[in-house]
Amino acid sequence: MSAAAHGHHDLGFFKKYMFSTDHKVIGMQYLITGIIMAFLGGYLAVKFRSQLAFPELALLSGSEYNSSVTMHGLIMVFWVAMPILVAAFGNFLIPTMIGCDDMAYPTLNMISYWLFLVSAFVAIASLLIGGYGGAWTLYPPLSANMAEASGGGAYVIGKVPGLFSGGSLIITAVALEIIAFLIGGLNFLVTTINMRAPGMSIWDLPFVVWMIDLAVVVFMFSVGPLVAGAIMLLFDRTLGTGFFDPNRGGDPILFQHLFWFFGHPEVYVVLFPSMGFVGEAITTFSRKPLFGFKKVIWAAIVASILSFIVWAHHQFIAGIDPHAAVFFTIFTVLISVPFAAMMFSFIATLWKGSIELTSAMLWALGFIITFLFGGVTGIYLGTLTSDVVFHDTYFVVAHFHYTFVPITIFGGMTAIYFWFPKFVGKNFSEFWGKVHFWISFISFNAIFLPMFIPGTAGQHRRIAGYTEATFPAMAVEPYATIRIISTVAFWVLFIAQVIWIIHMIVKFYTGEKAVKNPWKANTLEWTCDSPPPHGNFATYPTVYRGPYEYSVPSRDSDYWPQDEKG
Amino acid sequence: MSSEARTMTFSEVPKGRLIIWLVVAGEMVIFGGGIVAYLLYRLNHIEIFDYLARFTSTWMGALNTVVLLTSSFFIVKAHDYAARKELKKMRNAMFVTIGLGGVFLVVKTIEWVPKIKAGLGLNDGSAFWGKVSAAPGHTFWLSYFFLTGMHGAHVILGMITIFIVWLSVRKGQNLHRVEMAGIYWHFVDLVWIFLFPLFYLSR
Amino acid sequence: MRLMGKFLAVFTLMLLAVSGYSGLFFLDNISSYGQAIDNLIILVTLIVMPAFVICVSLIVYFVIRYKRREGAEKALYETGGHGSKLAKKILIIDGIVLALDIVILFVAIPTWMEMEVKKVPTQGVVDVRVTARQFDFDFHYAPGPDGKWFTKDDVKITGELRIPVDKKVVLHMTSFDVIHDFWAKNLRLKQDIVPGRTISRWFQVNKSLIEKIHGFKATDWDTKVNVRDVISNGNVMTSILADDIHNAKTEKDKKEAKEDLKDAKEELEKVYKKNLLGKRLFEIACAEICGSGHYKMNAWLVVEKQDAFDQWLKKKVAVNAKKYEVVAHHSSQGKSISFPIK
Repeated sequence: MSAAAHGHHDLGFFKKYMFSTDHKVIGMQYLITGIIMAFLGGYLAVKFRSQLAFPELALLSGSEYNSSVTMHGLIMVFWVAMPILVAAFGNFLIPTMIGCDDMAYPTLNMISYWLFLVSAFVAIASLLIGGYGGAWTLYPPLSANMAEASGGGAYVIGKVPGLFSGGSLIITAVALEIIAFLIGGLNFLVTTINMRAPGMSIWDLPFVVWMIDLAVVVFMFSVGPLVAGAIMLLFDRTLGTGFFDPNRGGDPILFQHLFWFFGHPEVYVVLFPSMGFVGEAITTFSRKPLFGFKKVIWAAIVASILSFIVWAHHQFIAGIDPHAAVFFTIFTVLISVPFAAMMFSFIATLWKGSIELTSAMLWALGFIITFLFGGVTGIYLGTLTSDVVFHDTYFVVAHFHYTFVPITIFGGMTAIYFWFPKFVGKNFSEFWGKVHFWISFISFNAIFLPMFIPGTAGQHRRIAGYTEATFPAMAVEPYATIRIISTVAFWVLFIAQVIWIIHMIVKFYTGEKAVKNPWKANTLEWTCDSPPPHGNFATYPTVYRGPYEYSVPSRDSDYWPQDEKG
Repeated sequence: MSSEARTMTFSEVPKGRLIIWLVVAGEMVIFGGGIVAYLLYRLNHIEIFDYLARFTSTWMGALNTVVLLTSSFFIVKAHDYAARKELKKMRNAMFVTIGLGGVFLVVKTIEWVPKIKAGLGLNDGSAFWGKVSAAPGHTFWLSYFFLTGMHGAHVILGMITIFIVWLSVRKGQNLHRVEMAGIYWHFVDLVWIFLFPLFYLSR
Repeated sequence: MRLMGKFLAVFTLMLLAVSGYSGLFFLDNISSYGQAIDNLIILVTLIVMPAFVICVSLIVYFVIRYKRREGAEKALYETGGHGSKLAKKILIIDGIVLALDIVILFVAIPTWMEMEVKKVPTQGVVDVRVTARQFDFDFHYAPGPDGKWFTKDDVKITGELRIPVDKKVVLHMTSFDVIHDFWAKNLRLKQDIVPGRTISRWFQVNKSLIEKIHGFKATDWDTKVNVRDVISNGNVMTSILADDIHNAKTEKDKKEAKEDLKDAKEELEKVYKKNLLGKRLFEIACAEICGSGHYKMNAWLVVEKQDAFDQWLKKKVAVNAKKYEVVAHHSSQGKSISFPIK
């Protein structure tokens, strides 16, 4: 069995790049779709940030504003973070890192992508007919039975928005997207369990594979209730049922439970892969083993178990039983312990290392710093009484962007810069990578750090403009200036990403060919050619040791590939 | 295309059995969401729910339980015959399973039609059970249609799965697939064992 | 000991910085339990921000100290497995994180018990029923002549919650359409208003806290606060003018409309100054998205002395009774909305 055996297949363009079952092509399809959706989500943010900074220009009406914030949130979570972090890099890395030629079920893998693409088109269709403007959390009754959240009373019997409305389409799209990822995720798990190279025990699996699989498990066990909830909501919207109609015995808060039972673990679904990328980059560029490898994984497992019993901290003031809130706050605050342990391990990995500040390493360090800040501000929100002040204010907005942006952009960029030479097969320019990092790092902080200030004062979310007439306490200085600072910084961040994409495209065509193992890393994907051919390995590797044997004292070389005998 | 992938197996579990168990686990959480929703509605309106459960036909529910259990027995038999390579008996047992799935659906349809005609689940349904104020009972019928409907969809899916497996194993290849279809069918059966007391016995 | 002294000095500096931060960015607190919340936020800041600063300093220091150089020695082979000293130290730090978490919980939970878990007082309180709808808050003070709540003849004020100082106020909140949220920033009170259920919350505005607000004068108690002015001069004027700008066809029209808006805003500022904004008049917002008009859904909290409040309410009840006298006679059954209240 060798790659040459696959070489004689002469596949046409469509077979090769469109309806391919090769995990690398599917990974690339996920990545590119995700990036396109990211620019779409970013464009929505350009719209509403401009409205926020300059409300007197009246760029957006109330409902247009609501719709762009909502669609921004939904797109960024479901069509950017999920495909790029879990699906794209799961596809790239799992088969190459465990030393096999493809996924366990290649056709299923392809179906997963195409289902995902359909869901993306449905989401775009929803956006084109006006989108949905009731926040990405889709709370009924607003989302259930009203003409696009535009006013006019909830649950008027006989008045249903129907399937071809922005709201129904986006709910359908979310459901499809979830099914696509369930299919893809099952494939990841089976592949990791069944198709590892000879000699590879579970503790020889690289950190990132562990983390992606853990993310899939968390996703699989948390998403069910949301699927049920989405179908119920869709029935309310299209058939006129009343699952969430309080006048007919339904319960609006029930949906919140179904949503957040998924919604909180979802954060970890996207966080874990990202932590995996960062872990890989940090060990490789510090030339040190990942500190406390097993302990970090156990910490992640503990955190994922805890993540199933903290969901109601999103609902402290939503009208749930205040006694239950006490239970949830305890577990929420406790979840900081495993995460602190993971972060300390990353920092300990740097200690006495031999650190090389490549672009990927910069992004990884940027991830740790920004995500730490997101983590510590989470304590304010997980604690009952301070959440009363901060719930649904810009403090929350700033907090979750301090988690989601590190996860998606910083973690994603770590992965892209780290594995670009491998999967594209070309070298990129370190200079432009670093320029990209510094502009993004500074502008990102300039957007969200100031946002904590109005947040502390109680500036509430999803408001198209804070005028003297409605919210005078928020229309004054320094809040007005802070909104302008955030907006200008956001434009800078957006332009930095345009520079990045140009850099990547130019290097894709003109970059010099990458060597097999540019970072001198240990894991198996670096033993393939760059880019790996169909079938990945010339000879299938056997594994002799763990993935992080860097700087072993008895050896001259400071790395020791997993498949090197002796 | 799938033949191109190397099917190395290092764990003891064959990959087919592995993925089918994972599918079952994922589906259980989806049904779990629906059942939890039902239980929460029920907690809010215990008396009304108890009252309304009288209007579901217990004997049809019981009949369906028997039908599904019998079908499960036949798919076990099919697996047994597959192991002994008795192809004809295996094919027949699989067909009986599909047939019993069909019987289940027919009973379900007989049960559903008058309820749908009465508009339960959409209006207050007073035409069906008379003068009792039904507003909170709405959610009983919604959960009833939602959960039994979702289960019915899975019965259909299971029948299709068994049929596809039948196509691929009838000549004696891929006999291990009978077991996978069986696991899925048992899961469909199990869900019904949960739903039956919730809607037909609780009163 | 010297290290300890340094540490204390740094800690004191940080304490000052944090209280400066809170003083600058919190809106003035006027409720009896608000200070406890503010203190908790300061405590959390004191715990988490040093932790964050230490972590970042360590990262920066390591990156500079252990940067790869020509001819430098190899990195340390340290897996952090069994018997690693550093791993033990990290375990201790994790223990400290856990301990600090428990400290935060111990401070937070009693306040929560006071605010939310404790039974809402019923005796000697001002009882206000709040109904939210798209996109306004209605405050019902008393049932009308028919003796039923939420009928047409209630003493109902839209967009204005007038309350006395030093007295417990209980809000029974419900919604007729979608989920709204009652967010009174200065009270540190936020509660979702959910259709189909009635949620009761209480608060008390302390006179001493009002008088502590920067620039508050004793004579301000006697100034009449007229929310109608704010609403009519504020909402209507600016929204009409904003529409004018939006709809303006030529550049000239647009420019004129913008100037009008500017004038209107200056006018408004005068109104607000007269109305003691931030001293006795506070904003209430809907903090849960509720539709296209969510961005303008607000209400006003007006704090009065007890006697002024009594007088105001008496007048309202009298006016209302007169207005609905005839109605009450003619129709024994007003158009009532079925409404579950515990």
